[in-house]
Amino acid sequence: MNPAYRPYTLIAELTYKCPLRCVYCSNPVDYTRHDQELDTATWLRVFEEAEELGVVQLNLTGGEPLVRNDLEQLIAKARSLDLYTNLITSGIPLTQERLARFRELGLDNVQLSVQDVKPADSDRIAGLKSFERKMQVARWVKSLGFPLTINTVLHRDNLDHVADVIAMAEELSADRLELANTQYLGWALLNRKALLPSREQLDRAREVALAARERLKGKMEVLFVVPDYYREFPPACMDGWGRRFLLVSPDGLALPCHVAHEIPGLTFEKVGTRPLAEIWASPDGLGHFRGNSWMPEPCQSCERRDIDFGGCRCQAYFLTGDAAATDPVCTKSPKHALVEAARGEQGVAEPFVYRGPRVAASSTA
Amino acid sequence: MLLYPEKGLVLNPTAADIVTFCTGENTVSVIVDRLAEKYSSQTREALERQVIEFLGVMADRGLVQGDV
Repeated sequence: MNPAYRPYTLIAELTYKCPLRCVYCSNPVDYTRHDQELDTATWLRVFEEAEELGVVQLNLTGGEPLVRNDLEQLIAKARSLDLYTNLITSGIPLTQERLARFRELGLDNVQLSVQDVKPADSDRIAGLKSFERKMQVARWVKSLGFPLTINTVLHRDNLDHVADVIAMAEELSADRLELANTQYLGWALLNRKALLPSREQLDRAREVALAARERLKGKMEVLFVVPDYYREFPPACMDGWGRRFLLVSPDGLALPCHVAHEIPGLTFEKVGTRPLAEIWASPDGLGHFRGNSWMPEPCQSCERRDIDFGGCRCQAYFLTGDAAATDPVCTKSPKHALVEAARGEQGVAEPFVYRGPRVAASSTA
Repeated sequence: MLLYPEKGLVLNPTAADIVTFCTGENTVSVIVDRLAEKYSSQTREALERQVIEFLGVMADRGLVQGDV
């Protein structure tokens, strides 16, 4: 195997089911097409094969992974394979007893989403009354001895609350706080007008976060992820296509990221059909945007070519219709005006589109 | 490799030794003693300086806890 392409992390999206309906959910908008979930035995085999491929980190996520009743078996398997296993969860539905079992079985870390600091604001983004329960779950996580990561996705309605989010995370004794600005894909793209902040708002929040990072050094790690739309150059999306991350969707597609299966014309294979190592090494799907021979100009001759890998292929597809285009968030992209126009629209009052089953656009009904 | 949420840190052999000795019970002095057995070409003072510096960096990252 080419060592330039070794997956270190398996993102196991165990289900697209979720009691929450967050307006920026990273699941594909057409997630209901992928409701044939893998069974327990297949997941166990995927973990084994992924470990053999070099994976050392496992993210159990979804949807809401807690709705799977076989999480216990999956955690036990991950422990036996010596994977560092992180449960990425809304905290719902969960009991303290079940969380204690996860601890005994060897789960390493719990990453809990909290949408905002005031119950009503948090619940409005989640589309479910859930804030108080999340606080309860956070306390269980710490009292059981887990490290706790709090993840708050940032957008126009909560960027001004970043200082309060940090105070909340401190009060909960979180070990790590991810202040991750919304990435405008999936449901977030549908809600972009309502979610995209202004540059001034973003800059203020970043200053607060950077000051907290210094102040809390050694106590709580504070991460602040800038949204692509306000960057000069795109970040290296997923550290490069099919390079360091392998994501398996609830129905078993081996993917480079959360939404690549929405790009038409690409063929992604299902795990279990042949060895995972062969699927990983395939020139199609996971191999499609590896390397730089696919790159158009200005990427092809850009000195950042092997730094950001041309940015996000999904973003390129959703904004320009061409997955092989330069990511339009790049200021060198000939289509960068699309992003400038989107920034110009921020601040427009728009009702939220909540995550949920959607009628296909091609439906005649 | 030291694993923590979303990341991993590849440690060189000396760093890996130091982290391995961070059992929660060993003091810095004990860690330095153990290292001195293995790395006899360095003085105890030099080892102690490096251990304290390394653990400081790791503590800042939240990867080890304790008092130096």
